[in-house]
Amino acid sequence: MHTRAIWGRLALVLLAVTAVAACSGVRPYENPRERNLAINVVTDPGSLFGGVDAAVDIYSVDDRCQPEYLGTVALQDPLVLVGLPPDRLSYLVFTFSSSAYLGSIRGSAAFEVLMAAKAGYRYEAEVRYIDDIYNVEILEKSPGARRGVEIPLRDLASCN
Amino acid sequence: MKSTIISVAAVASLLLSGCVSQHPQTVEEFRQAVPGAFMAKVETYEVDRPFSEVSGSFEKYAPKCLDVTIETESRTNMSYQYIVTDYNPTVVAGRDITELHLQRHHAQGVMNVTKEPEGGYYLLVADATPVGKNNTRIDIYGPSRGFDVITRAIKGWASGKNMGCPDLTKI
Repeated sequence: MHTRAIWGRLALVLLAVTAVAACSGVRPYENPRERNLAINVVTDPGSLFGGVDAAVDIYSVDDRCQPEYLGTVALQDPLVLVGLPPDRLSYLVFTFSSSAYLGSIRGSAAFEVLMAAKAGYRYEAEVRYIDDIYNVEILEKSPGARRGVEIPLRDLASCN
Repeated sequence: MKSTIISVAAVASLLLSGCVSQHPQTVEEFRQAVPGAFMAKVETYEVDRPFSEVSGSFEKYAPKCLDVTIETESRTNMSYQYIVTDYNPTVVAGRDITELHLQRHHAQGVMNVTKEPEGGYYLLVADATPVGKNNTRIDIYGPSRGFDVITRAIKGWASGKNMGCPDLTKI
């Protein structure tokens, strides 16, 4: 009877956690099979982002420049592969959310990129967060090219 | 009892407003106020980089990195605070000087007791001026503590090394 009560409580907690996750609006990005964007995550040695959660929110952008949220990819590993729909505008929002649990202080900084991935091209992004300074750079590599060309970073406001 | 509390609060606010009666309303007023102000300083140094490149970095990175809105939430057992802060950078690029102005406006969670200039209170000003063909002098007017991440980022833009955006949530 006692064990049953414990399992019952656990089920309630799980249900509550699931409900909160569902209501937060954040959902995992459904990566297509072909992954044309390699994200290299460079951080302070020793810890990956130490106290900072990095992620990239991915949106598709229609002809009227309206973004549609597709999902979020957590940047928890040194190399993350993502598939962006080719020949369509994509809007990427790299976020760095810090949380100091002792004081319960939270905040987030974002870095926006509007880009159109070309079919057959490869993209390499470097997401760097070192000593509270962050940067995002994206290189475009044409088929067969060894070297990439840095793509100019545009925000959604530049879409027209 | 209640009237005593109100009287103490009134005297306290009068004293506080007496400490800072007015904040700088222009960039020039800010430059003049910083050297004598409490918890503020002027930092001057030179970088081995042509003025045009430093100026270009300011123009590229200031809007990209400093035109941001930061939301911070702090919670303890006894209190809850939610603050929304808008940072507004302006770069004025000229032939002999490029100025970077950074203003800060609290959109939510902080009450202003002095007149705020349009765009927010001045937080920092960085001036770049040419020194010969290949060097540039940087003068940074700003707080002496607590905003180190911004000055480090600006130094990176000036030197061309470690280019990136300061994480303003760490302020």
